[in-house]
Amino acid sequence: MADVDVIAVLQEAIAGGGPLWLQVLLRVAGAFGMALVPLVSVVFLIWESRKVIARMQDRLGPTNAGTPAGPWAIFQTVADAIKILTKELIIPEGADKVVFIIAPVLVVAVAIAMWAVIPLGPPETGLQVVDLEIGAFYVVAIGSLAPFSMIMAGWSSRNKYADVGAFRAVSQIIGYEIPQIMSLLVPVLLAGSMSLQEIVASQDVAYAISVPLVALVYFLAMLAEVGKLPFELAEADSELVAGYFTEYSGMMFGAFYLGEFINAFTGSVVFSLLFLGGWRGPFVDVVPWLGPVYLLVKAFLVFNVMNLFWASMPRLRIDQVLAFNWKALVPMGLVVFLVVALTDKLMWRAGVPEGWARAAGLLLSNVVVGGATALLLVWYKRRLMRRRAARFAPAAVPAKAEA
Amino acid sequence: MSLSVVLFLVFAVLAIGAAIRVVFCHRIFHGAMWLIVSFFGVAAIYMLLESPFLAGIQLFIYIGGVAVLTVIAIMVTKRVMAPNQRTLNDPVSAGIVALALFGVMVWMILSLPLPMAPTAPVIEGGLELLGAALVDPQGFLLPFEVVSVMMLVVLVASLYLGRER
Repeated sequence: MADVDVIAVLQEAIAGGGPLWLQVLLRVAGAFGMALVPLVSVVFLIWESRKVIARMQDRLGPTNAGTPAGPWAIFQTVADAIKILTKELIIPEGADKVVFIIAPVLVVAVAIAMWAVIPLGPPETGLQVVDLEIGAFYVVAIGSLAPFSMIMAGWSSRNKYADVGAFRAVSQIIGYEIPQIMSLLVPVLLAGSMSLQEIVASQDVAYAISVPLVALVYFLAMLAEVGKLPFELAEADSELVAGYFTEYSGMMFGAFYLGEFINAFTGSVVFSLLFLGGWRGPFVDVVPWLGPVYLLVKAFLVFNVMNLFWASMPRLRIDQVLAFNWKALVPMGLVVFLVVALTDKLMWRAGVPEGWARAAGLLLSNVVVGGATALLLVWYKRRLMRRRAARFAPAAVPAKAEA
Repeated sequence: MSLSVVLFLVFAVLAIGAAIRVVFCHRIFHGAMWLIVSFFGVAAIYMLLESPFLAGIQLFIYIGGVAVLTVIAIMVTKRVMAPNQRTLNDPVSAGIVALALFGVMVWMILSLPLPMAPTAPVIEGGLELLGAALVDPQGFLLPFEVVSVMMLVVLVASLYLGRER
């Protein structure tokens, strides 16, 4: 009993040998550890975005005046969490109890489940639970469970605001899934793999540089998926109280709040992996543990761009949000996907070397598509203005020649 | 029993049990939710068969698409929150149809030779082979294109039906 070399047994189990129960235990421990990453970082990120947004809006945000919340109130979120845990969980009369209770659990579970395939660092650090060959698709597939939790919450609350919120959320998320997948296909196409680890490894030139238009489409679609302003209609507080989680209180409300922030952060991390080169950066090949640092810094920057949107954008109307998706993002995503695929294939045929040369060609194709889109939008706006002028001021417009 | 057998039994019981709950649910919304649990069990079994792509498709198409559509259809139904609403209008004919379908399925399953061991080894990088086969003129290019044209027709038709008049 005393002679067992614990470290040797552990090393063997990590390498894939040893007793089965130990391997299962290690896997579970690894998954648990990975699940802690979003949960812990969100505690900091909630404080950070509250503080940043407050400063943008000329407020102070949380402070430690009279409370033991630490310098600059960095433990504000911890205090909030403790407070929210002590609050009563109110289940409205007539609500569907079981569904009502499962919904917030599902929200957080879905948000965390995405982290199973996220590579925090290079393969040698082992900071990934499992490198699925369908990694990028897994993210989308798990993400498609999110509208369901919203429907459950909205429906079981037996509240009209919650219902409207759920409908809005679902129509928005289902719609924006299309440009999201369209633009997600481009990194998959260029990397030749759906594994997130390989997509990162293929980015000698970050895809945000070689295909910026695709990155833009993905970013906008992701913004709508996580429901940040200008797309937070699902919970539009001035119209719908709080949208699909109107009836929730205490920690059940906290779960929705937490899930939302985890989704925003996960979205930033996935965006960094797909378009910003993930854990790649200078000296990673020498010190692999720099990888997670680079990834988290990139994700943090993306998260703060979201904060910038949040603090400065007005909320759109639901018809505007949906029209923008179906009339602008989906066609643009389709066209840019076709153009990128064609350009890449032609360059491959012509024998253009991989790396900066290909990136330049792809960039050119993106600039062409982007320019064409801009011209189209200008033309559309002119036509719209002309028509409006014709409709509202018939006297000002000379009668057309009889046709 | 190996771990994979135990896991298979767990997920098979989950899938079948949930499917039975779908049938015996008094509230149609709960039925839809049990349907999702059932889909999830099937996805887990695909995962056990070392086919993560099929599992992902199962999650994406069935839970993300079919189930959400079902639930939305239920949500816009009248009096769906009523505690004991009837989920069937004509139990007798529904029962006959269901029994007939069940009989056909049982007959088909029993008449098929079921292998007790894997008939082919798991291919490394099978996903790439699948992708290549879908766009290979010698492979499944024609069916693939036919399906995509059909999808396009459905899309255009739904736009036509849904447009404002």
